[in-house]
Amino acid sequence: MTNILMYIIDGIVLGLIYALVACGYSLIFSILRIVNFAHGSIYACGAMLTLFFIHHGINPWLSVLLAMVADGLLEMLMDKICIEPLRKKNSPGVSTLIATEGFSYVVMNMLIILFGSNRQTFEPFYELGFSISLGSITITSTKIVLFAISGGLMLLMTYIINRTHFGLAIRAVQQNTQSARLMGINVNLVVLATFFMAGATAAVAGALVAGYYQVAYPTMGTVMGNKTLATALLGGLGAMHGGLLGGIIIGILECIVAGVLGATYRDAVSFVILIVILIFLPSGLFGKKDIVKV
Amino acid sequence: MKKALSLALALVMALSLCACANSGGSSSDSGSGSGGSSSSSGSSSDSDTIRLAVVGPMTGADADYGTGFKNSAMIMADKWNAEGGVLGKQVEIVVFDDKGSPEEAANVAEQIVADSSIVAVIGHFTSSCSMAAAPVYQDHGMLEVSPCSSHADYTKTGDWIWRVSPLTADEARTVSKFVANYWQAKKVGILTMNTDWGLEVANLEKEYIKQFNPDIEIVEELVVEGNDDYGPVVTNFTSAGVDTVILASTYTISAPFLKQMRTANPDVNAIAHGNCQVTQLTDIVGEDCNNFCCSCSWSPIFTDDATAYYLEKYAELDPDNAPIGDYAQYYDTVAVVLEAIKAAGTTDREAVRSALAGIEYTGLSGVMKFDENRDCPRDYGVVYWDTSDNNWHQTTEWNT
Repeated sequence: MTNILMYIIDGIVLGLIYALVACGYSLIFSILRIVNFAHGSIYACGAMLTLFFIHHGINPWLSVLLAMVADGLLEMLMDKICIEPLRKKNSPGVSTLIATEGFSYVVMNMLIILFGSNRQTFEPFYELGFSISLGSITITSTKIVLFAISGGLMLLMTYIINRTHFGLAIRAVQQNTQSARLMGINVNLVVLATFFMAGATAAVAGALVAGYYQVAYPTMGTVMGNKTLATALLGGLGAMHGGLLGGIIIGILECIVAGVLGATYRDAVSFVILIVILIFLPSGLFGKKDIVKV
Repeated sequence: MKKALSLALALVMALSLCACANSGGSSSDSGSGSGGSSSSSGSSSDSDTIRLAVVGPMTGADADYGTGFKNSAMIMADKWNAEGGVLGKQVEIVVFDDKGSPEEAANVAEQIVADSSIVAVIGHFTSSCSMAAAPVYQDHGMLEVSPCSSHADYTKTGDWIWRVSPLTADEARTVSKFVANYWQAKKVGILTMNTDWGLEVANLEKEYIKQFNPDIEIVEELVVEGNDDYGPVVTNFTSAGVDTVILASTYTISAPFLKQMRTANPDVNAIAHGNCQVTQLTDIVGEDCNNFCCSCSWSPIFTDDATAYYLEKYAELDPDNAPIGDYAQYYDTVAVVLEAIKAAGTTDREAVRSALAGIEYTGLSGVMKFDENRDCPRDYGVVYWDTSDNNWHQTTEWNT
């Protein structure tokens, strides 16, 4: 019983990380109806850049902010050079998927060139040095801080989307780009800003995860990118709260499966869920069905 | 503008692909990912050089190992070249990248056997890759001398397949004896990497531990690379009351796991294998690395002249990372093959293979002499990390 509780606690923390990364998928999809396969690499880039800034004597929290700006700009660059040209030509969606996949490899290999392929130690910059014991279960301060920051960011993103003018603009562009443009919304600026937000959240997630596991490396986004795509699909692409629930479900299931059946099965959880969702509930738990009028 | 942007993007992607092939950082490499690239001080003319293929994971998750292998091979080749080479010719190292993938290893093997100028293959790294490539080498009469493949079945492929690495059984026996007799463990948790090597070493250790002390209880958890979260494994080991963990995995898994395990249970004893005696692991685990042990056939803390020379030359190529036992085995393997070529007096592969059987070479990792199975059994030692001086230290009292 104690073990199951520990799996659930670990799963919730893991799920929040997944949800935070999945935010980026949801943001891009909500605007452009595309899946950004470069998101995992952007997440790894956030972690590596944070580490780079810390190694140059910059305060860890400021390093995270700088990495957020850098990742945000990187996502905007990806839109400008990979996605926007295809968008303007009305290219099939698969072209954009391939383009983002290619950009992902470019980013990952650039990280390897710049930082090497080694695992590098990453100080737990948000460890407060205490833990809470509930019987035989111990919850470290790192888990608590990660829970608080991830949860807070998710709430912030939800607030921005649902309660601000900018969020209104995003939702307007999401519903009908032409009409939004006619209403005076600068669609290109909204798209760029959305990419920036996606990159920034990926950077925060990368830095938090690297600080939690105390290790960072250029390829850390590969598996994470695939799993968080499953998270976003489970919750419903475009639905922030769906990503949160999807992340927690996948996180908990993964930890239980890893604990009970063995860690070799944990990756299967997210991919089995991905297949099931695509077959039985393609719009996810909270996603909206696209109605295409002829 | 669009054309310029497209061109710039294409250039960046091409550079990335090149860098992907050379991500270990070499002073003289060029060429594509899985193809060969020539290094060392040898001439590029086939008739003036003796070419040895060095194969390992030059790109991918294990690229840092590949860099170490390449550097070590080049150091030994340069050493021989400075002394006149072998048979009056300079030694040329041709580097191949198997990406750490068995499928790619077989492809690379096909490329190598198609090159008649290559005398022998130093490689591959993992047992999975070496065994995937071995049938190709066997079929084409090419010597494959693996520095690190310790799987029991590796040399069974055929009489062109040799190894310099000590056997997994030798290492497993050392670790098991240390855990059972020196630490006197009551409950052992084995973290097993789900690869050929990981599974084999874990199975051997379970067997040997029971031979040394049948009362020891063993709990095993299988893991794969790609996840840094070992929460459920730590929970299982902790709730099972494990007092000792054996890490049958590379440092990419061992480092984050050990950090999480020692955070949950600072008193747990931990021992890993030679592939974990790396700076990256001790940096990641930090203060929690105290008294962490590794079995080793060689360690940079050894004080003999040969080790000093190797360390000095290695530092010139890679000042930021100290070599590990696996790198030293590539270094020794190049020497063993060159000794065989020298003894044979020719680069004819059959003659070199025959000469290899009679070689007795004292290298960094001990005396290398092949037995009837083309294996090189050797003893292992144990080293431990001391956080008071952040250094490895040898321990011998466990083996008395």
